Amino acid sequence: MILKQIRRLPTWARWASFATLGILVLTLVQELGQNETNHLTAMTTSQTALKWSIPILLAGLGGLFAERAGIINIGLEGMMILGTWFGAWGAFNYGPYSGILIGIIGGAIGGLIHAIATVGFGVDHIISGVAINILGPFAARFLSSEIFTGYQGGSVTQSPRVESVDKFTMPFLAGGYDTPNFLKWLGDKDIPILSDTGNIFRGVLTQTSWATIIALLLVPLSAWLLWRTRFGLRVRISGEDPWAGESQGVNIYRYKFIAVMISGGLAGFGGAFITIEMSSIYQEGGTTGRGFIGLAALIFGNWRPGGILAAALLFGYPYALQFGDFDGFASHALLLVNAIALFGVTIWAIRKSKHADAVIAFVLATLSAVWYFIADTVPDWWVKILPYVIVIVVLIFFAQRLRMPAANGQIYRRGQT
Amino acid sequence: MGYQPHSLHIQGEDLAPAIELVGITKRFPGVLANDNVNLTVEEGEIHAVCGENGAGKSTLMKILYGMQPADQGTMNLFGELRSFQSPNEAIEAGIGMVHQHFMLANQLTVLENVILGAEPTQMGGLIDFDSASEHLEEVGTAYGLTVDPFDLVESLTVGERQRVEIIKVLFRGAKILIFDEPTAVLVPQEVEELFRNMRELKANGATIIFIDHKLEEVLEIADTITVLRQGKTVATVKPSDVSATDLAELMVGSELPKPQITNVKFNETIGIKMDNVTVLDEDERPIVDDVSLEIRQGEILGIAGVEGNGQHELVGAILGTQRMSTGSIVMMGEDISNTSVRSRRENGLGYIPQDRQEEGLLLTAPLWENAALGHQTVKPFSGGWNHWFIDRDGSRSQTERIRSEFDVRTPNVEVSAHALSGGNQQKLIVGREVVSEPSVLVASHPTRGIDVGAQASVWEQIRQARSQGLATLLISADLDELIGLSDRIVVMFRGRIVAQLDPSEITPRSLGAYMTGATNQEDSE
Repeated sequence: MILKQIRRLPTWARWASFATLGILVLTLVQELGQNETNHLTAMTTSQTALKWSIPILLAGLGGLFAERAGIINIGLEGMMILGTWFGAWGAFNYGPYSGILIGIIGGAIGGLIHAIATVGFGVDHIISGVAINILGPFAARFLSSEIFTGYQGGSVTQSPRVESVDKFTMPFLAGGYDTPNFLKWLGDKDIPILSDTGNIFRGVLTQTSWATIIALLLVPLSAWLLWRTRFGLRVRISGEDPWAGESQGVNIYRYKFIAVMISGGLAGFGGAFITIEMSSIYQEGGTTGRGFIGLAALIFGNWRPGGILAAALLFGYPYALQFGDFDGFASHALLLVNAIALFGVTIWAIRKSKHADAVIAFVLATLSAVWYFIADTVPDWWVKILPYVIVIVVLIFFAQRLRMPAANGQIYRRGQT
Repeated sequence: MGYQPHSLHIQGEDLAPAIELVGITKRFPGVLANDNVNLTVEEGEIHAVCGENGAGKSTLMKILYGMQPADQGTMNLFGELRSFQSPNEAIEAGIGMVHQHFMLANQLTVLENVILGAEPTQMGGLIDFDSASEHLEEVGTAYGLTVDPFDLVESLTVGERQRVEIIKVLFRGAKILIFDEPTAVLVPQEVEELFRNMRELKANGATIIFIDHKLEEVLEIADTITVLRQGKTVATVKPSDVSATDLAELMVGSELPKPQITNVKFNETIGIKMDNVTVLDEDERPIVDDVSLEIRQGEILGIAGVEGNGQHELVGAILGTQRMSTGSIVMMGEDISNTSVRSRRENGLGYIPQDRQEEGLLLTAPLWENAALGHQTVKPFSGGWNHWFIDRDGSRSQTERIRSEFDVRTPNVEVSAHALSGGNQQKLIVGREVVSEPSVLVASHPTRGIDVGAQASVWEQIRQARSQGLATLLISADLDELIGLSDRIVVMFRGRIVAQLDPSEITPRSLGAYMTGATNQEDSE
């Protein structure tokens, strides 16, 4: 019944309620575990989680533009890889801001290839996407061997170190610009829930990269662009019913083309972010499949910008947890969080009378809970695969009744109605 | 603009016609779609263009609307020589098309669908939704078309969607409206509503081109009728000067066949019997609700109903592709409720699917493979141990047999299915079902979208199979076909059987009232 109440609230309040519920569960689990770990709600965790969410968010938004225009972009990963390489090259030669811009251009080149193939020639979207995923890493390696090997500290698999963009710390709340640090004060008080919330927000507001802030601003910007402007309406008709758009004189090819280029650009931004903000160098294989996770975020987010952000944060969190969790206690505690979440899913599935889902969720929840109670810590490999496990589990339950654009993935040819 | 019928008419004599197409010719590979077609439409009239499927009506309209260029010929608009490269140019010149298959995105709102392509914007390309919805309501009230601009299109009925299509065209300021077979998707009551709207539009000064092949409708609404046959203009006539039969002969070039059935006494053996069948949809709501039916051998049972009232799911239940939540089905005395699709088919269930291209054929496969579809597990299409191997020779000769017996016009059985016209594709499907000598046949829209000649041949085949003792379930949106072929008609509405009727006592109109739920049998009896 709490969930029912939440569903009636306006969107922003609904998301806030879900976030509060999440923090509540995390705190509760830490208290239950006799404070064996406080890593779940630590400032460093939320700080890292936000950072790790950004590439997933950007890939997801990239997917959003392409799929709203009806083009499935499974090539996000390849475009992201182009972004990592071009980002490194740009940042090394012209500084981090230009690096991001050049990374975006690199990704957009991938988008251009996908657009030429799928929109121009009517190639199957999956085939073209897979081709780009193969092309991306090979192009990056070729370029590295031609260019990075000539730089001090570069090789065929990596670039020299590059600088990051500037950071921002919120004044008063997080003590930026030599102001009082309210959230630190709150966090140090050790009040259950309130202090945990304080720590989480302090992490998000402290030493935040401007690149992160720009990426976050892209969420409302994308929503505005797609749902409030002429451009957005025409992009969406391209994905819902391009033939209807054509009959009203919209040049569908143009909007599909632009949308797929934007898609590649955003994936490229995500790649450049990985290079410039996270690893500080270009490394071969540095995207570790996050283009695909962005695609999963797009699906879980139901092809909406706000949903993609929520999914990106959810998927970014376990990545963050594995940093600084040297003893495995935090990942151990997360087992209980997972169990609680899965029991929640069980109840939800029963109410929706989705019996198979309920059984699967209940079994997974029980396994998770049993593991939590019989072990004190979890092995290293579990920590490493956890983000991917969460993606799979989430998609199992929530990817069934979503609404993708009606003509997504269909090959559109002008004049064929 | 005021309504001045007389002055308008007199002016029309003096002024240049709204549209004048002269000598339009259009070739497609292997087909001459339009052959020197002439069409003159006066301003302020409703001009019907009729002809069989494939007569070249749609091609002519696509040329007029800028979707395809003509190979030869000229077009004058209000006396001015014009040619359009794209629909956009046609729209700018004041021509609007109301498409047969609605050009609407279901997940967008009415307003978004309407303004698309002509969005009123403020700076930065921001859409001005307020002024757009005001303009939409102005247009709507001016022509007596009301619909909520913020509804999602998917929540609208078929009639409402058509209204949105019309508003869409008027919103762009169209003065000449092309209606492409607008009544094909409507029940009779909705057709009357549409005709009221069309007369209102005409009274407001619009010029209407109305494409149709239903003769009564054409005679009722049109001021002038142009008939096309095999890509040529055959005649331009006034409705007062011709009868439906005259028109039909102009269209076909010979006498029009009718779906008349000779009364045969049917067998007492029950072909198929359904008891309390219920099918649930994704949301666990009954989409087929407690349906009981029985069809005797040699009987044709027609199911009438507006599309989406459970007919498709009922067919799925019989075929075995749709899970029943309750109920049982007995075919030729055997309970088949829990058997597989394959065993039902092997035991004599024939099926003519509603969409021949989606469900009925593999368009890129040769005809002999298509002829085996659904019968691939039995002789003569397969053989060897457990019918593991395809019998190519057997398949080919069986296909040859279908080709000659069912008059499938094709050079040979190796061509792929998409090379055949719609009528010949349908004849192939009907042929492959009938030659397998089923005991029960489910025919879903067996003549949808095929021309009169092929239609007559499909009717003839169904009639013959019936006289040999086939139990047939016929689903059709063509009410004349239902009434003409069926021995008994039931009406489905919201998943239930709401009426059981004798086709000799009903008209399409009274049937339409049952189909929309306006009357139901319990009330009237």
